[in-house]
Amino acid sequence: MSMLSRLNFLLLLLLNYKKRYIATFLLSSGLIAILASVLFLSSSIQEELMSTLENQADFTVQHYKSGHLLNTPEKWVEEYLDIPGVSKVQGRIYGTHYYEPKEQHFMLVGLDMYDVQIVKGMQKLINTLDIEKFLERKNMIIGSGVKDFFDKYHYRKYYIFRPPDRTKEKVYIYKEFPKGSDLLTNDMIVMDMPLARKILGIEKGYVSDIVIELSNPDEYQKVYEKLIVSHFDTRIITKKDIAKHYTKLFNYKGGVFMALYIFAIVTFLLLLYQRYSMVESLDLKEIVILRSTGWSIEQIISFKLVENFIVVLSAYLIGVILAYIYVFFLDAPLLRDIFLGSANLSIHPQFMPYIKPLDLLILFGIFVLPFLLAVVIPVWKLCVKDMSEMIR
Amino acid sequence: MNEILISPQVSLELFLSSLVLLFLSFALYHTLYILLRYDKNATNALQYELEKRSLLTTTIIKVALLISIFLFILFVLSIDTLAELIPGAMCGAGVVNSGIYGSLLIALKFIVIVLAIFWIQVDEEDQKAKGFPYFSLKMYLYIFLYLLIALSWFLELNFFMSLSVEEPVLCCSNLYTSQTTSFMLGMSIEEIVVAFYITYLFILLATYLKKKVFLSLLSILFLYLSYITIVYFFSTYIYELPTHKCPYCILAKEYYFIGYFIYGVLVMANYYVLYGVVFSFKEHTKSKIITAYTLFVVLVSFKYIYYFLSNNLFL
Repeated sequence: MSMLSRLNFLLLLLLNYKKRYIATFLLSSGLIAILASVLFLSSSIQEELMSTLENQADFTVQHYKSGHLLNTPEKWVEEYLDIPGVSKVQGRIYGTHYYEPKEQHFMLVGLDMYDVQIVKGMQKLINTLDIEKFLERKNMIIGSGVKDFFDKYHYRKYYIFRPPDRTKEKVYIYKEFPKGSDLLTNDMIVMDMPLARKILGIEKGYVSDIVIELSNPDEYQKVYEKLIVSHFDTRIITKKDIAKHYTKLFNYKGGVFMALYIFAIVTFLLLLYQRYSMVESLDLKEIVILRSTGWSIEQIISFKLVENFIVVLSAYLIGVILAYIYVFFLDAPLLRDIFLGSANLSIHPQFMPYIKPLDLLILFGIFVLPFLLAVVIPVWKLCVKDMSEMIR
Repeated sequence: MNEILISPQVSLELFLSSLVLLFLSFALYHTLYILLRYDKNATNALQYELEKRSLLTTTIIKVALLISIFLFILFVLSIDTLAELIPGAMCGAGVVNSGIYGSLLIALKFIVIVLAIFWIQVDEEDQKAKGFPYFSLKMYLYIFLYLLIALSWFLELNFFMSLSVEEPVLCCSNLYTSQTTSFMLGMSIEEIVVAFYITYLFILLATYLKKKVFLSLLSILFLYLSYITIVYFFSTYIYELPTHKCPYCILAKEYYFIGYFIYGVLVMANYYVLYGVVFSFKEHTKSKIITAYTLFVVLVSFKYIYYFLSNNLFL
């Protein structure tokens, strides 16, 4: 029999005996869909964070003394500007505002509206603003998480901050951050720098930290060394450090899930093994017929393996498609909380469709291949049974 | 807990290879059972049963081979992503060098794939021929293959455990040394390249004259020579960078995955030699050996000659 006619025969068999495989097929596609959504979600978030990292400064210098994070002296800005290879240095003002009754944190960021921002996301925001109008009175721009929160507690037009010097600061809501930037701006409040400085209680001559941009990325190592020796009470965070931290974090989250998942797979495979070991009359009949029409045992074994392979492969495809719909069209309800954390303001991000080829390979490897291995022995056992005994 | 072990690719790699080893052990038990009771001349029921048992080994090996090839690709891809985590590593080569037995492991995986393809071929020949002429060869070869796979499993476990995310690796600085190193018998790299081409010509000659012993010795020599020349000579032309001496980056996307073709053709060439040496040396085997080796030489030399023609000088 030629390859093609054999395949045709196989598909006919599969169509005729749908019942035999329906349970395996459904269970397999469900299992694949779960793991696939975790992997897709994790790489999508990771990719988004990495792409925003591109816009970050090359170095961030913090004042770190005896294990405490302190405000950074502003005069360091001038010092760092003297290092050759450094193109731009900027002091930043930011901090968290804590809303005690509900135990919520907001990220408060102060921007110097007339300066060019190193962090490019912020620069984009400023470019869309009418600065004169924004600075007319005390205004702020808020993220969608903050907006929801303010609406809930009836701060529709303004919010009153209480700075550490016991005064009151009434700040008006100017506008919201655009949708789609939720992952980063969800709990963010942006306002003018002097105002933020007052609300956060940062004295004159100090900033929260200092960001540094290089003119030539190849001088990274040299500048890094100079930064280290410039002051001994600093903590220097590099772009690479952050990227590595993200990779570690997502590897960890995905990996823990996967380690647990392997047990589920093993259980499923054991079930599968059991199911195949219990010889059904239908299977027996089929094999007897095939053998009496002159098929060799070897042919039947590979035929059966291909049959199983087709079933599990279609389950794989269906599972991946289901996961794609779940993550990128429905934005992964429930599952996203594991990755994004739901303790603070709730986030409703839209995940951008992004699939790593390695993820598809991992899915294939963790399910399709063990599946094949699990059916090898039962199929063999079935095929080598004594013919005369089987007919009886 | 080691952060490397928990990353999805690595845990999958270890899970699958352990599963394969488990099934191969099962097949090993059957193989030993058969070897102890096998009698070529007997025609009783036991011998028929043994034949059926041997089918299991065949089936498991086929599936295991499929998985090994898959795992090899996964291994290459996953150590590339691990390079992000390991300080100082710029690509997979750095990761391979930072763990213990890294290069040995890759070589072993390579050998296992060639041997597994060969085993399946032996099995087919055995089924076709009358009276199972290669039966014991097949069985002993399986035991050898099993030992190799078990060894590579053990090395892989050790390799991943030895990777550290804290210690920086020397990575490419090892490969980037400018000093001239001597390889074989104190020959310089230019002399090795000449030896590489001469060996290729001798292989063609030996294939044409069907000298089996000569051919097998030459092919082993050629394998070694091609590794050295690819790393220290031909790869620099593929990267167009005289300091980039890396057997690994040619597998990357930047170089159009040319490495998979180069190594794939080398696998096929060695496999055909193995096939020709063990089984009858037919005309089509001869042409296959010649084609595979020629294709390999063309693939590695193409960039080198192209570079010379377009720039009129060597790197």
